[in-house]
Amino acid sequence: MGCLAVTTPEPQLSLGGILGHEVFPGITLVRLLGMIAIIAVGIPVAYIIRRIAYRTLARFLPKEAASAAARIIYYGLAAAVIVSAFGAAGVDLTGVVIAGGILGIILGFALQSITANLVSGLFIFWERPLKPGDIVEVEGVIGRVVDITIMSTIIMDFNGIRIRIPNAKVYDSVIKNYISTAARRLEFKVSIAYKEDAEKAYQVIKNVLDNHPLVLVEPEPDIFVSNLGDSGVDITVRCWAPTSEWYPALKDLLWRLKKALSDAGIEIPFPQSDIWFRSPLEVRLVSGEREESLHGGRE
Amino acid sequence: MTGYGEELGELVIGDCSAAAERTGRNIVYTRRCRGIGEKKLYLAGAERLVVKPIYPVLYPKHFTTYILIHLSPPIHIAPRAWTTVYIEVPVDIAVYAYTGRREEGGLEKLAAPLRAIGAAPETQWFSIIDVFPVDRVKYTLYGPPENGVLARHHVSRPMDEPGEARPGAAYARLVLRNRIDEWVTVTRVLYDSRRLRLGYRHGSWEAFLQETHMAITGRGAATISYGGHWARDLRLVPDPEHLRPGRIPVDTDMLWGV
Repeated sequence: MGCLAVTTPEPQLSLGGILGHEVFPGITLVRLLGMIAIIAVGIPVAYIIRRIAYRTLARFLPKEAASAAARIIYYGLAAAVIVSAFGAAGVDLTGVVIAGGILGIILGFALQSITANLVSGLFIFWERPLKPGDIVEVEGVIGRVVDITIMSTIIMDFNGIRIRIPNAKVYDSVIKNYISTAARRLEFKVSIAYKEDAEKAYQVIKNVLDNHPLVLVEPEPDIFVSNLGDSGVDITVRCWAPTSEWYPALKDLLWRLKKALSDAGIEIPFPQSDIWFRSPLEVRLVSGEREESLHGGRE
Repeated sequence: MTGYGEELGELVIGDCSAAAERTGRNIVYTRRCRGIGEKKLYLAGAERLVVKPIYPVLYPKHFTTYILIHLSPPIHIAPRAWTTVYIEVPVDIAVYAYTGRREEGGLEKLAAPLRAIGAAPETQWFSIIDVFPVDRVKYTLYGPPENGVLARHHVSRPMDEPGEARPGAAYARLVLRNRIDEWVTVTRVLYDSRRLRLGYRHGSWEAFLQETHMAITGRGAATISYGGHWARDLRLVPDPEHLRPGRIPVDTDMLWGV
């Protein structure tokens, strides 16, 4: 009787064999380990870069903006690490990349305004055309900047209404910052009657400016006749005041100018017209008839 | 009252009068100034009110720390020459309210040995309750509007000796050094009140600032540095917190003309 000898091959336990063993279809153990190693090193490195970026950006940007920018950098780097790790493992990511690209385009369109506000917010933080506390005019809104977030700028107007303006609009519009300089100019027009002495009016106005603490010595105030108007002589007064005191100075000066001119007996004219009749007017006054007309009689 | 450092009773300076009246444990402070108006305060817990000079940057509001002294006539300095002059710097009148208690901590420890020689810094709790000017108050802009600085403006003639003591005026010694090879005309001096040390003689209207040095480094540029006190027997004015020098003392640069 014949004998059937069955021999089973000895299992090969060499390191090369283990590492070459396919853990998943097409992915050997060595490639899997490589992928894990890339992720294990890459993600902490990305985190460290995030911290460094935050500390660096926080010197120039507000903390919220610096944190958002650092987070964007971190997620970008983490995504790059993961893609590299899968690539090293031999996983074909072409489909994922294409899908990601399409998703990116879709998201880009969908989140266009959000992205625009976000990027504009970063530029506003960087360029600082306005900051909380400034009095500004943006998009036709005049008021004090209350807060600048990463997405929008909050302005409190002078009626106490809180207005939110998206950062993209703020960045694209003309921004007038009323308190970014040390001094600001005031301008008044004072009109005096033709019969008044313009030289005297000039001295009165100059005296008011010279004695007002908030009117700056330099730039020197400017007082000049700017127009010979219908009702009077227009005198333009230009002077500078500290920006922080511009509004109190404006109110106080107008009041003092009016008072000083009145005290000096200088007439501030109101609009008036001389009417000339083509034919001479006849006025008849008969004492008896007048008496009657005053009592409701017929003229 | 005959001068700075004395307890306020009744005081008339220029267009202003101030008075402190004790009502039991409280003090009623009243100040009237022609053209400025009246101020009345009811003070509880204050031990005494004292009148002292103060840097002229707090009235009508504190919006700058700089003082610009316009020199009239101007000083012409030959190349590489130097000179010493005295100039008048305006000071306002401040009313300090003291509680009578001393601050605790480091400054008091440092002050204790210096008190015997009259050079101790003020360590009593105080608050400036009122500031009013003696002379006309004017401010000016030094430099362009976009990056210049606001400064209290005053006109002074250069003097060989300090002028006569009066309320509202302090005298500073100014050493001018021309470091360039051409004649320079100096028309103004810019001081930062955070670096100035204002002192007074108790019971008089004498007030002094320390020696200051103006180094002219270009045709329209100079640097102001701040030295020590030249007058003797002075009591230093306790600085309000926002007028104290920073941790790193910085000289004052004059970049927009001298």
